[in-house]
Amino acid sequence: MLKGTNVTKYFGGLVAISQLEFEVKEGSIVGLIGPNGSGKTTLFNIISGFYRPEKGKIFFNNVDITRLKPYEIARLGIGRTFQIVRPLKDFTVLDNVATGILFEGETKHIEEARLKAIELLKFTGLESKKEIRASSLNLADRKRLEMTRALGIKPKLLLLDEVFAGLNQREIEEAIQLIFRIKNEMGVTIFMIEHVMKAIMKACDRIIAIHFGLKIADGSPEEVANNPKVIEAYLGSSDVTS
Amino acid sequence: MFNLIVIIQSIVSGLLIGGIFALLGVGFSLTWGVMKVINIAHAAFGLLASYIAYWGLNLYGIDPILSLFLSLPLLFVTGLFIHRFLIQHITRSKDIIVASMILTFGLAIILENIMLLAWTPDERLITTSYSSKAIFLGDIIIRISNLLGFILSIIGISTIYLFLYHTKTGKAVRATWQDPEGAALQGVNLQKVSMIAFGLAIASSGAGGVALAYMYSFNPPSHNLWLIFLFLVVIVGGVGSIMGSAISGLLIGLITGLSNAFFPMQWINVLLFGLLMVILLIKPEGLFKK
Amino acid sequence: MIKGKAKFLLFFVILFLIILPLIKPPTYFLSLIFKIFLYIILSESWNLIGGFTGYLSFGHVAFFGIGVYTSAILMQNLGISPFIGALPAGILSSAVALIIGYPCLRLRGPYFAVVTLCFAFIVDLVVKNWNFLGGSEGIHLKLMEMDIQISRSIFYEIFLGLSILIVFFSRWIQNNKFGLGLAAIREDEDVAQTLCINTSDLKIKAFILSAFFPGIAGGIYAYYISYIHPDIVFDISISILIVLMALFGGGSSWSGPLIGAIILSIVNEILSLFIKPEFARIIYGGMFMIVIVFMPDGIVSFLKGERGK
Repeated sequence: MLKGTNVTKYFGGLVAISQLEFEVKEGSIVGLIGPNGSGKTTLFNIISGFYRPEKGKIFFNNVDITRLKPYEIARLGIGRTFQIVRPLKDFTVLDNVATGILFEGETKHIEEARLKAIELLKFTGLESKKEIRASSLNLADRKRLEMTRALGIKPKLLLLDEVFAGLNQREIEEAIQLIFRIKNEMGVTIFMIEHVMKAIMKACDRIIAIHFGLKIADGSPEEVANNPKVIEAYLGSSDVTS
Repeated sequence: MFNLIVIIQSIVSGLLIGGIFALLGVGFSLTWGVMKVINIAHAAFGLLASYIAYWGLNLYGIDPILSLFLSLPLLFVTGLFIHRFLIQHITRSKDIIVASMILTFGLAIILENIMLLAWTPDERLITTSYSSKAIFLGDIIIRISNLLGFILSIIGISTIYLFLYHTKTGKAVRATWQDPEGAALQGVNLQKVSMIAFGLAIASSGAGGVALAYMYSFNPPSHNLWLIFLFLVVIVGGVGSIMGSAISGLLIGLITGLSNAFFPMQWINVLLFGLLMVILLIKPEGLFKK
Repeated sequence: MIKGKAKFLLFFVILFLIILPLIKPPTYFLSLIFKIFLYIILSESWNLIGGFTGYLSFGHVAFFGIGVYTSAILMQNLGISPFIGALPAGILSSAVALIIGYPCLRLRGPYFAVVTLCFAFIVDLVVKNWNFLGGSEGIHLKLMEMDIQISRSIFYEIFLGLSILIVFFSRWIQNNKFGLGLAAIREDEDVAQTLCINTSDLKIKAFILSAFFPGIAGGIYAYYISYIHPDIVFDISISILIVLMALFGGGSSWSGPLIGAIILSIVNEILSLFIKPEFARIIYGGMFMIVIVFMPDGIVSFLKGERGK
């Protein structure tokens, strides 16, 4: 469903991503891991259209999306969350979700969008908080809102950027369950960046590991966990939380 | 018309005033880039120092340079207070930079009108015993007052540079700018550091103001025009870049000097505003981005 | 939202305003209300791009001035009455907004503010130096051959109509899809993009709309003042005032600029009657500071107790 070939990105003189080849098959949950600064969020920014790679291409369902604007990519069906949650603070939880539904195109009126938003909020468990201003939510709920909001645009692919960060055990467990439900009940393919190792091992069918912008592993969770290059990359840094 | 002497004279005069633009620009750029505060009142504070210098000179015969010993500390402390009691309270706004613009805009209006009340709209100029004297390099005239202003600017810029690269607080300021979270983790007191940097920037504006007052007549609304020059200098040089602002200041001064020789007065302003617009639209990160 | 009782009150207020000139109040009073209408039109229009979308234009007076000059030139050279000429005036202002909007709206926050300010300065300087537009002499328009009371009343009613129009238009936008999109852009433009919102498209539309009404108002105003000069119609303090009015009342709602324009115009009048202009401006400066520190969301939100987040 999503394919990247020879993706290369520079920032000034610094290489952020180098000749990356990756693929995310439809209906799967693929994880993206790597120490801080290895280029994971950069890749997400490239896929979602906020950055343009110097070299390489990104294909979504065989359509070249490399040069498309972010809103065009969203309309094609790629949704995303942000590493540091970015709720529309002055909007209610309901409107945060309704906006995406309204602009996705199929829904014509605000009131209709709001009704559909309520359904979506029920699915993710935030319905009781729908009239609350997004700025008043706690972190776990903000993350949940971020995911719900992304679901509003009827994505076929969802990019999740560190949704487990800052959550406690129970909240992580709930989030994993939600992700499974999104995949199974809504048919959404998931590509997720994560640091919380235990969670990603549990949730993903496949994991891609990158370090300094290069791919160092690509396979099942077990394969990647035992890959010496991956272990070495993480030994050097202290940001593995399990 | 294309007299070589005229051209060289314009270049020299332009560079001399460019030094002052550089100093004012560095201070403006410092607050914008490091503290995310666009200080619309920056030039107004400089103007305040000009008036203090003028006052000291005309009432008590004190040389303007000496008046700096009063105005610089005064401005520094004022900067501390403004940061502590005003700027630190606008962090609730959605867009802090724009909020700081509005806040300091109000401040600038207040300053301008206080100066209007205190000193009337009349144009003033600092004239000391030596300000009409000049040194001659062949046919090129360099007025002592312009040279003095330039030297003052060099001292000011060097001071800021030394502060940022050779003092503990200054290094903390740079660290905060590059990585606010990391700096905080290392025990840097963000608020205290920002206060001091802000005070320093305002004080440097004072030095620039006095330097400018030697060269050009001024009245309370003058700070508006100076401010446009500051935006031009800082945007061309790249926000937050000391070296960029310094070079850009000299460059803008050079352009102004040369334009003075070839274009009528009114069109210079159009030229500069147009340049600012073009730069913003084409390369808003400046010509000297690191 | 306008509830039942409020609707009733509103109807009577509007009726009263319409009838007002007929009961022959003092000219000064009518002129003051006329000025308030002007600022309502300007600040509500500005708010479409400023408060709703979050792009604070500091040179908006330029669109007003362009409108003034357009209708003045049409009157002077082609004899077209400004009441008709106001439409091309509005269209020209919108066209200018379209042209400079594309490059300028790519800039954010302070850069957008500065570039719009530059734009206004440049337009002012260009007009001052362009003899076809009267240069620094300005333009003198022939006055209408009509009783002054009656002509003043006509202008009053037109501006009343425009004010009502722009207020309702603003309210309509705030509550429809377009307004929701603008608000999303204001809250977080990147996130808005990920929600399928074509942000460039919405921004340009908002900018054009925000220039159209000042253009029309300017077109009519040309005839009202009959002597046109860049210093009057491109006065930067008008730009600044409309920003303050919108922010004071609260930028995210249609009611903000309305309240801000009314309150601040009245405050301005009272101040100018009793105290020196310098003191008045010091108070204005203070108001900017107070608004941004204590009521960044405007006075209405402040009074309702909705503090910053």
